[in-house]
Amino acid sequence: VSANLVKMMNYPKLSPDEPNSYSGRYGAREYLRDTVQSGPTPFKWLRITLPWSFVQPNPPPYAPTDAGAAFDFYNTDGQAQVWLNWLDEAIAEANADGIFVNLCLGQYYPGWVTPNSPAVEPASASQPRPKPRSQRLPGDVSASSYWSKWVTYLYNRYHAVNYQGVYNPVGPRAAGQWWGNPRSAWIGAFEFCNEPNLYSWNATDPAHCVIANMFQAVDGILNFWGAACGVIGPATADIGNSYYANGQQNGVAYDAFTNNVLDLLQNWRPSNYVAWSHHNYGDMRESRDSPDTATLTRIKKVGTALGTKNWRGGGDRNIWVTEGGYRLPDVFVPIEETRQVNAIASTWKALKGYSNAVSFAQYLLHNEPRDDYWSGLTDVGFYDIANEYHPGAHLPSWTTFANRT
Amino acid sequence: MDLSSVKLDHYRLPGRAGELQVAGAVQQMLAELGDNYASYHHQIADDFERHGGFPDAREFEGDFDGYAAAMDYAVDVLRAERFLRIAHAWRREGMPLGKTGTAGVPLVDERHRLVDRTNDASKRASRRGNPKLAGWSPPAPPRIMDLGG
Repeated sequence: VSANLVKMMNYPKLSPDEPNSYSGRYGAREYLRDTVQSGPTPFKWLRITLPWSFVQPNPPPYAPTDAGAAFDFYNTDGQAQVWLNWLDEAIAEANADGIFVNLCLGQYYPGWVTPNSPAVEPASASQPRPKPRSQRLPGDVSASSYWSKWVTYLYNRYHAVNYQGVYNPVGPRAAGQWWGNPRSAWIGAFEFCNEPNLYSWNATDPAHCVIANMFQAVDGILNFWGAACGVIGPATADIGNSYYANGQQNGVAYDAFTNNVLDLLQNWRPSNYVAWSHHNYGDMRESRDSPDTATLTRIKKVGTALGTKNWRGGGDRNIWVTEGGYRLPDVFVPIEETRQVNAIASTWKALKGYSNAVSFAQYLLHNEPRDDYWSGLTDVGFYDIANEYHPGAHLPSWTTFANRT
Repeated sequence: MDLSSVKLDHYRLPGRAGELQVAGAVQQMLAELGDNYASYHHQIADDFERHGGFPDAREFEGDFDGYAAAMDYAVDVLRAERFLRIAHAWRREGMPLGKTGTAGVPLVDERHRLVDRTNDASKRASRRGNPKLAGWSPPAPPRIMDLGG
């Protein structure tokens, strides 16, 4: 039985001004720091997501093998600096509060990474929501690729030394250190992708092969530059197979995807701590009817696959649950608030009894009118005329997440 | 299967398949591989053995490009074995291209010797693999992750 299960909160919103950023402006920081972290349960992790496409939308002015020029670019490019400064601030605030950060690379990639690609996935072109090119995984994720330089830069910028980030206010040319980090921000875990079995072009590309190669490339990068955090991935969405009207594959079932990736990584022997990450919305939904009935059907299938495939040489099956939650309907239904409480309480309890689980994740804190994925712990708030957000009232789940032991 | 995903940027296949690879004749390359699985597997396994499997960063002090190239070569050799199995299934078992994977058979064994599609241990018995893996154990979480709860 695990006694070490930790709580993780997700902050996917990409601006300090967003209600779901780690910021005191809308009370999120106070809730997590003062209520949850100092409460009776081990809340320790914050997941912050940043997609590459936001940082580097235009083709780079350097060769894919030129790590120095890539570092130079990220340290000086205006667009990159906007997002990196945002990330510095969010990570540094969590660091200051004693909360560990899992930095996740979101599911959107720059279009130039997939040259000559159609604008949308052909199989999805006639669908109501075709998959854009930005969701296509890079064709090249080798250690010599542009993708690996992006990963290398981020890792070097935020790697820690003795629980400290590497301070570097000058940036690219400071005494051999090519990565700027003016706020000494540091991360504890690096999650290199997000829900590839859901978002990527599954009708076109063998996403599981790309993800297996990403695992190996990130491990290699840490191996060379000096490991100072864990590697987790691939943040599988716990979905079943889904198909477009034309019969072509849309989403790949989490269990098939997991097995396909692990098939390629059997006997891999990574050089660093590498662990699997998974999202468990489905398990939580099945746990809604009582605070004691979670079965963890899906996550246990993942655990079995990790054990069977022997990808890390036996034994270790750590599963990081890096997203999860109970989605409320878009109309007020009182019983759903109770179901959300049940889902959180029940899943937390079950995960504590499942030795492979490392974390329990809650997505999100605030429900917002501009995003209809309402799995947060506050009622839907409103934006005033000055575009200032006013969070809604605490839902019953607010205290469930904070106080569950 | 989108044949654009069948590419090896860092490893040149041996023999005729290598010529077709350089020429960009992907379908013909797969046919050549699929018709001659055993021969190509043997040669690719030899290449992986000579390369020493995955590189050790300690041997590339200050040379990231060199390390990355060695990594990419190793990863591409494993991709080559995967393509070889897909091609074999296509040509000899009538499976549509891309509808098969590795069939659960590992690409390497615990000593990082290339494994053949039937996982026949005798086919790799003469190979040494990577001796550094003899005392290997899974890396523990770094202290910075503080998983103690």
